[in-house]
Amino acid sequence: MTGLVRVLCKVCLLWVSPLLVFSGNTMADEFVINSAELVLTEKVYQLNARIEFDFSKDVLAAIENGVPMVIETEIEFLKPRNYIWDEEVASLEQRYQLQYHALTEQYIVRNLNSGAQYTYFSLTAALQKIGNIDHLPLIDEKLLSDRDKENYYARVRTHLGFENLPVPLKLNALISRSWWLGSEWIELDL
Amino acid sequence: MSRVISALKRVSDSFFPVLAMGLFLVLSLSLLSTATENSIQFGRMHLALVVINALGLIVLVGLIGVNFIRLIRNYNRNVVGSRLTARLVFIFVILAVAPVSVVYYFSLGFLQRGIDSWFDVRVEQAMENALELSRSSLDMRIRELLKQTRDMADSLADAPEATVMLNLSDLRHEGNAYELTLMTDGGRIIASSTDDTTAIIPSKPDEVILSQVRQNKSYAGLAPSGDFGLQIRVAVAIDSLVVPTQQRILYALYPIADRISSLADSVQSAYGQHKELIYLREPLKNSFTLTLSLVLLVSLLTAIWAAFFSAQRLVAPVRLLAVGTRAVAAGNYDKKLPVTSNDELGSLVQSFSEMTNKISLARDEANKSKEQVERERAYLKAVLGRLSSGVITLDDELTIRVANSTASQILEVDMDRAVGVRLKALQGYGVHLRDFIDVLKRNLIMNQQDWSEEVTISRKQGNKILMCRGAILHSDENERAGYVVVFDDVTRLVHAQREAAWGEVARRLAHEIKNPLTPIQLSAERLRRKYLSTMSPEDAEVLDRSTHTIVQQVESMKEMVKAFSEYARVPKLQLQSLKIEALVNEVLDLYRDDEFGIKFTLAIDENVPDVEADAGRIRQLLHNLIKNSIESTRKRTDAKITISVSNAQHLGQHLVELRVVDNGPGIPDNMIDTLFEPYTTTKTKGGGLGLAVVKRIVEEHSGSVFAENQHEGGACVVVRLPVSTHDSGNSDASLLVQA
Repeated sequence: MTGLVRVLCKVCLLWVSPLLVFSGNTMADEFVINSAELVLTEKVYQLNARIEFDFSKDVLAAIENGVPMVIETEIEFLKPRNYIWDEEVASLEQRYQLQYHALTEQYIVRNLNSGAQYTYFSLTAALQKIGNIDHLPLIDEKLLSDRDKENYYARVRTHLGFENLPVPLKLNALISRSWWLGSEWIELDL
Repeated sequence: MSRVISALKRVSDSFFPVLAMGLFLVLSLSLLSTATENSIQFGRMHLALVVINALGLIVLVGLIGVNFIRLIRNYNRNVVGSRLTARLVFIFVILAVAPVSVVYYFSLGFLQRGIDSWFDVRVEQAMENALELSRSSLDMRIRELLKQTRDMADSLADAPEATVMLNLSDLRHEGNAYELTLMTDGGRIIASSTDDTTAIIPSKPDEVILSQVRQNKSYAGLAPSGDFGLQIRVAVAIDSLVVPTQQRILYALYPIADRISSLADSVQSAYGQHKELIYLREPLKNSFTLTLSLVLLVSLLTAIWAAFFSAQRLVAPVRLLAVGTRAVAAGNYDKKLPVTSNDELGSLVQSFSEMTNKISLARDEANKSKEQVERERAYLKAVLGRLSSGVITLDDELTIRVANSTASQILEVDMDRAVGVRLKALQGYGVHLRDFIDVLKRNLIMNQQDWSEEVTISRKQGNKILMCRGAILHSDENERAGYVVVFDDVTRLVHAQREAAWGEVARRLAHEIKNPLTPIQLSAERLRRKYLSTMSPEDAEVLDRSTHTIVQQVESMKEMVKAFSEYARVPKLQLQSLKIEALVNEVLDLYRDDEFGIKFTLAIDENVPDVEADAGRIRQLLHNLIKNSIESTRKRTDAKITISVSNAQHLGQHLVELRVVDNGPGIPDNMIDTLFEPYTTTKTKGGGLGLAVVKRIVEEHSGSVFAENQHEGGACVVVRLPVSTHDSGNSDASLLVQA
């Protein structure tokens, strides 16, 4: 009976807390972009960045239990506008899947954009692979119109992919801040 | 906000939008339950589905809230049907909530226990063991390959750089490796040979592997490969004799036999899934519980809304009936009730409508007959009102039912007020009615079919003689239903008869007596003249006295006859408009210097209108009245006579009233009825015709006269004469002679 009461309480909590979370809608700053820069190499803008991931206990536990996690890094090119939101010129999303492989006791990092797969003995190494972005080609210089090039700016952020969580976990994730992991937008000059 | 509420009200009143919403919610709930089971296609929709259902719930709560508030408000206002609706809603809700709650309670229990039962400790152990078994079975192969790779490394130890590439290729083929790479201990690739011709860059070992090789000289282990499958990675240090300072590493990748690989892969995936499931046990329970709760809430709220809806639908005809009944109770039979359903309630409403329709028709009929009765009653009243006889009807209990206006006039009582009063109680309306009531009671109690009797009503102004006739009224069943009494004021008739008799007497007297008087007188004078001188003085004296007496008495008889002929004479009136006060003054002047020392007082109102009269006759009337008063006050030393002239109203007629009041002994009670008849007098002198003549003069002028005794003593004669037509428009009004 007490179990049932607990479950009912939880059900109520499930109903109320999404409202609290949605009302806040801010991500905890567990992911930090230590450095990020755009480099123009052979008329292509490339991104170099160093990102540090600090997972919460819940997320770590989920990873240890074989739940695949997706880390998404978003890059947007924007053109500022007056009075309304800035116009999005181009955007790119770099997605990595991190999963623990129990048989080999290794972490698999899979680049979901390219399909490339890497294995690491430690989580730190795996995260380092994800966090070190070197020469990631973003956009051809030509695609940004020449005339007011200096008006453009880019921004980057990274966060835990919420959509790819297993369905049962999603509800838990909704009500717990330990699943809302991500960084602030970092603005980059062209 | 009010628009939202009214829209909600509209939606909550109609069936189809809510039915559609309910179906939509059921669909989304079924999708949600599929999504909860972690299916790929709906997994992404899960959150959206939860939100949609939650919104649906909010809308349902809104609908129910609107209905509930409306019900509460109607309940408090005592709106017709609200109590029944509330009771039905309560019953429906209880009927819906109770079983659903029980099912929910047990479902939750089954859900919890069901999910827990998936996770058996033995299954978990078996999974661990399977993983361990896979590892150990692969361990042998790894060790073999390590040894083989070491041999390769040895063979490459002293190989020159130029031939390394060829050697590597050979070694790879020999050792069935997938890829062979020679690199420096820093990780720089020196040479590589691979089975994959598309690969440009050979795979590099992890830094962890490199450092392990640097320390322990070798590494061998499993690694996941591609999307599925495994491969064995081996890294061995090459101890070069040529360049001892520069250590090189041989890094080899070996495929695992497909059969073993797929087995190991299935163990890994099963283990991974199981582990994930264990980890997700609580969230899964929450998720299922949430879905179940959503299903419960949606069904429950839909059921509650349906309870409101169906209760209102059920009660609608009852409410209509109640409204109709209230309308009928308030006397409104024209209220039309719409028939909303074709079930028993609908036919009840229809029957009610027909009933009110018939009642309405019956009421109209009743009203019509009532109006007819009223018309006939008014007609009867008009007829009765125009009758010169008084009519009174009484019921079986001797209660007065109808009395016409003539009855009021005759009885001098407002008989309209007496309707509904018992006959016995009528005495309270006037003491003078006592004899009348007694006669009626006596005759009615004797239950005579037809009777008639003369009644004399005694009143201050003189008696009134009524001729009463009565009959029993019968109802349709020939039972006694009441009585009717008709009566006439015959006073005047009786008086007229008496007067006529007196007139006849007078005429006879004048005719029969007057003729022999003159011969008697002449004969007596002749006797005297012829024999007086011839007789002896004694005889002469007798003769003289006798003839004198004869002559004198004849003279007196002549006077009397003259008076009678005066009374009997009906002279032609010389009517003219005259001022009565001037006439009174003129006549009174003749008496002012009277030797009896009577004090005369004259009181004349201002604005007394003229009367239409014969001046000579009125003068005679005044003489008679004043003479009468003087004679009645002769014995008093403080004799006082007051004459007043004033305006008067009687029975709506405008009159001039002349009152002659004295302070004499008054009129004896036994004479007050016959005062104005000839030979009615208390005096020793006079013929007793004075007041009879007064009455005749008054009647000639269409006036009325009566006498009454004053409270303070003395008599009062009241003469009322109609006002001249030149002064007022009441000349044609008929007069009621009161004396």
